[in-house]
Amino acid sequence: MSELTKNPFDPLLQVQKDAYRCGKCMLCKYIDHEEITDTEFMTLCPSGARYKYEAYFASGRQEIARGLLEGRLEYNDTLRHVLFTCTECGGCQVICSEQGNKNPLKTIVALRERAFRDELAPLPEHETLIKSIENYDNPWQQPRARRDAWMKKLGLPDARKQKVDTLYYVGCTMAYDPKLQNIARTTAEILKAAGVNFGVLGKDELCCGSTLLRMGDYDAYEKKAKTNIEALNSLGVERIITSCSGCNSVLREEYEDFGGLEPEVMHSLELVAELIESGHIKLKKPVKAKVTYHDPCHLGRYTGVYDAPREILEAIPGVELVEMPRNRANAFCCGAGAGVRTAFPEFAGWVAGERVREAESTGAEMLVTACPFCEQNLGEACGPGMRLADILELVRESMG
Amino acid sequence: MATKQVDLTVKEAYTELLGKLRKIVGDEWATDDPVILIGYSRDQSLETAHNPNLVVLPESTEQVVKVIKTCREYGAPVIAWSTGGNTGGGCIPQRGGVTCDMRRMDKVLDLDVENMAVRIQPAATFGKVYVEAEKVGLRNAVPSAPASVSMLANYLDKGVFQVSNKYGVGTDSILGLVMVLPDGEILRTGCLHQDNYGPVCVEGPGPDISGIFHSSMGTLGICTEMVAQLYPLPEYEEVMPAQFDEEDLEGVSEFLRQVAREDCSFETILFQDGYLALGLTPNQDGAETLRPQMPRQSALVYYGGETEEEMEIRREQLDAVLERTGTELSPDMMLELLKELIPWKRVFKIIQVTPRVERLSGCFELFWFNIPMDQAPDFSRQFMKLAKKNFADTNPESAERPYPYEETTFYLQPLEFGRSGMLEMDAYPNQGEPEGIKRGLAMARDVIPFICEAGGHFDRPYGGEQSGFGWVQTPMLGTYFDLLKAVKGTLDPLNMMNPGRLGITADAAGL
Repeated sequence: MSELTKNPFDPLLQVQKDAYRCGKCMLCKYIDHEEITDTEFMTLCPSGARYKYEAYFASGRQEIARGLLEGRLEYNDTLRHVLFTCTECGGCQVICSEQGNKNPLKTIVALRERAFRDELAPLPEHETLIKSIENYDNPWQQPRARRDAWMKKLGLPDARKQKVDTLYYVGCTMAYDPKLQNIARTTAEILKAAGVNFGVLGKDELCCGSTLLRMGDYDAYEKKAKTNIEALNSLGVERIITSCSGCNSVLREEYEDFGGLEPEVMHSLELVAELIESGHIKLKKPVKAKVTYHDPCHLGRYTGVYDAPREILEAIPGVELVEMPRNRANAFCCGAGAGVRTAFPEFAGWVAGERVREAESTGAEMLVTACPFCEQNLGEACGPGMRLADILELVRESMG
Repeated sequence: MATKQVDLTVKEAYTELLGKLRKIVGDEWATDDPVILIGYSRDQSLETAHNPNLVVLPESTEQVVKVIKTCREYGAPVIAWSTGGNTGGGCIPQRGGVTCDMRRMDKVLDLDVENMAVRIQPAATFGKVYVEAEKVGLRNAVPSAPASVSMLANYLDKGVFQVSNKYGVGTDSILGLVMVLPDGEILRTGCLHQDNYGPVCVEGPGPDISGIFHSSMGTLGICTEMVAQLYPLPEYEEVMPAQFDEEDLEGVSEFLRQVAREDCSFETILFQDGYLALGLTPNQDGAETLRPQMPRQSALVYYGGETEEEMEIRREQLDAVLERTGTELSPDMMLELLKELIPWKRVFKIIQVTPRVERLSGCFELFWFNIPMDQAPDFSRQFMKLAKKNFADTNPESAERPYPYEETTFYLQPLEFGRSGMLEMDAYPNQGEPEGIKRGLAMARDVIPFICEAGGHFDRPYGGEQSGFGWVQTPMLGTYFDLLKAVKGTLDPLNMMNPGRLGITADAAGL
């Protein structure tokens, strides 16, 4: 056996035990076998499904970690491709943790962190996003001054100046993408109509740092997370709601590594489901549509929110919900996550195409979801027979 | 066909070969990149990791033919790799070569409901076939392996299933094969010997040539299609656990034998607590909490039928066996836990090696052989003695117990209505650290000679030169081994198909 790495700060040392205990059962490639209803849609790992070589599955990436630790493998462009085509969807994690208390997702994160420290990363496409976060506090190279463009004329309270219970943390993508700003506006309108005492941070909202974490720039992410924790804790709000599944998982779960946030963090869907249940939101107008719901990875697998979106859809009169063969913890990723859409748009498009094909197999006419990245990526893959919508757009429509 | 007589270095030859393989399968599906190759270097056995020189992913039998013919030009070893779940190092390319990853051929080609048969490609998993068969009230055999492994490879490798008591081992369910031989010719056996033949002919025509390929571990060609039997899916099913003390091996063997002979169960099998606790709990902590509450040995009996009445009749038969043999049922707690095993699909999750291997140390050392049932007590006692010797961290008070004796277990399963039995002895060394390798190899050196001398028989002569069984057993087989070498020499004169397996070296094969 080769001698293990001598570097005591090698991130791979943190995941060494997992890498060595991978028994090559290969279950991480597929959804939970008890849940398979259609063998056409039983694959779980997007990169493995597309590139097929063992290295593109979690089992292969564990072997790569082992090879790097033992000095049996050197960096090259293929390694970059293998590491950064993982969408970090967490599918392998769900399956593997059932089998043996292991955490393959941590191995992938450690591999990326190591690649970043050894200057194999960032990828050129990611470098632009990382610099943009550093310079503008958003990955989309947009000026800070335009961060509040989505909320013009809504008259939303500034959470730093006015005492509010709830902070609506919009996130970079909803705030800047012109195609998605309407979802932020819709969310704010729904909250207002339901009487929620909420505010926003406007131009002063900071990037959550999720992009940095997923791309391997752990040091920059840590800095960003700590700044955000301090700023958000100082607001004195009781809860923070997000529209973005990525922000949701980082604020809710990943910030725990640095002490966490004091306010409760929830996705907007969770709050809206509560408001419907309590009667603060009344859904009156029928929305006649056969819909299927795509579970965003960072909302479902990362934070366990599976029921709220379904409860909302079932509460909307006229909506018929049909499940895709891969749903909830078995959901197939949209293909956008962890910088994949930026660096490998063709692959991201292929994954989205697979997901839309699955949605079409249900007979649904509408694919609904609750994440800006999923909406961007799936939206481009939808053909004329499939309309993409955010769940809250349907809620708004039904409120009349 | 002769090998290429050219003045190429090995590296240059493989580069040239890669170019030709890419022309066959497309640029994307063949590579020599070390980042890709390392994924094929290891399995859950104690075998040392070794990369192939190339990996190729064909998508059809025709492409497999071309791949083999092209590799043959270069004398390059070819190692078939279906889903990568081998437990004995069978697909680790110890001598390099070309790993032929079959995962692009993963289809269930046909499901014959009336004749209860399925036609599959190499990478069709047990789980996939199960789901398709279940839809029509049928099922395949469910192995002690993850649902993610190749049904074709497992059947060819004499996999033992949760129906082996009644229906035999994997090879007993094979009805026909399509084999691509080492010279690239296609051989069709059994019901596949001609296209229009139904799934009825297990053997022949004439002497059963397909038997040559059973347990051949890819040494005689690559199987690209199989027709296999399916079985009725029972409407009603139950599990009955009986308990035995650690020393009562005679009692448990007799109980299993009688249950099997009565034909009142789909399956009956003995598990020790260390094995079963890992299967019945979601994590290692849970297993360690549960194990002391369990009987040391549990015999599980699955029974049922097409109707509730049929199931009741089976239960009455089982009660009679319990009374005759003086066997006690397990505490209610065990029954409650074991209900998790129903329906059959749950077996995928529980009675399989993966949780044990992955929670313990990531490496699985299994000794698997057929025995007469009456010898099971002696074999088991001797194994536990050797387990204590090699995995003897027996002090439960000690915080550092990397290899607790209790986790080195065996299971015993009657086959063919109790006519014979399958005894699997499992140890879990850690391939990632020297102490684990030392203990694992010491165990292999102790167990293999003991089994062979005592008349045990390895049906699956796994492993390579480091810890393999074939290297010990097959040379002891006299004329049988001579004929095996002759068959290998005839079909594969270049010794290019998964070389170094079955105890056959180039020298031993007279090549």
